[in-house]
Amino acid sequence: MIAWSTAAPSIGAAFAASLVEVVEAFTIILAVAALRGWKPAVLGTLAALAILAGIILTLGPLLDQVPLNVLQLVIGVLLLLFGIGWLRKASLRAGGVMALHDEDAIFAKETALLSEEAKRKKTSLNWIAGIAAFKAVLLEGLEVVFIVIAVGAGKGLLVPASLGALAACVLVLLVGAVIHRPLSKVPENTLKFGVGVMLSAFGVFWTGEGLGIEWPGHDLALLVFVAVFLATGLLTARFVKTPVEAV
Amino acid sequence: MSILKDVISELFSMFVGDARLSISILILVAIVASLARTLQIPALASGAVLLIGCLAILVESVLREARIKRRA
Repeated sequence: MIAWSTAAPSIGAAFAASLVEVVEAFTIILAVAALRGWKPAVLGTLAALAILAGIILTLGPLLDQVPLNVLQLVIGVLLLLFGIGWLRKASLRAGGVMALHDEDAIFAKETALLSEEAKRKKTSLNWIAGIAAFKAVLLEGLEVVFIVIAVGAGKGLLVPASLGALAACVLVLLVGAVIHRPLSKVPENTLKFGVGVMLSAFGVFWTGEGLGIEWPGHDLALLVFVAVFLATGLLTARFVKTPVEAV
Repeated sequence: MSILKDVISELFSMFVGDARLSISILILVAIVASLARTLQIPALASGAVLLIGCLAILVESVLREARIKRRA
């Protein structure tokens, strides 16, 4: 039986990270559906999901063969690269240095791009639309797969983390099916900020464990790392918001 | 081929969005590994170096990017 205190951080991180990725993929799927109907959008999505499922089914058994400390170290380092990268971007966006992600603008741009590409290549628009949905789901889905493996594999929490990701997919699909518009009201940067914080905290935790460091308080150390990364990210974003005049 | 190229480029950008940030993290992990394994420094001290190092890399990277963007 898995304790909630152990599983909750993994489920929460997988859910929030997947929510961001699925919202981004959904915008493209919706652009495809708006242009050519749901058939190419659904076919492209299903094809990408099949490939992602294949990747998971191939990688899953392989992960069991890797020694735990090696797995923790590799995943920890990848999480640090990925998580701190996300937190950096989110801090820059929160500080007004980088533009915020705008799903409405992306939807309009994607629709225009698809129409233009169909004219230029003189190919069936259905085919191009299907490929666009396929690519969006595959590319965003790869990130979801990595995040689920990263937050779940180190402690045998792949199933709970997958359920967190699945819940995010279902939520986006349900809300999307009701409102039929890009989910521009989702506070993407706040979510990305939170996910960057969680992934960075997991990264420090797993890298340390992989190197043989026994963290005081064990899993509770994660909460300390989350608090420290959150405070640092917020303070840095606040600092860059008020640029220092050159002397 | 274009899809494969996009997948590879996506995977690359996932972990190497900013080359300097990524290299700094890898160097930090190598330093912490040598502290923990070779120099036999207490595990907790190595852990503190890892955490503080990551925070320092994050702050430096955000401030550097902000400086560059504001100058442009």
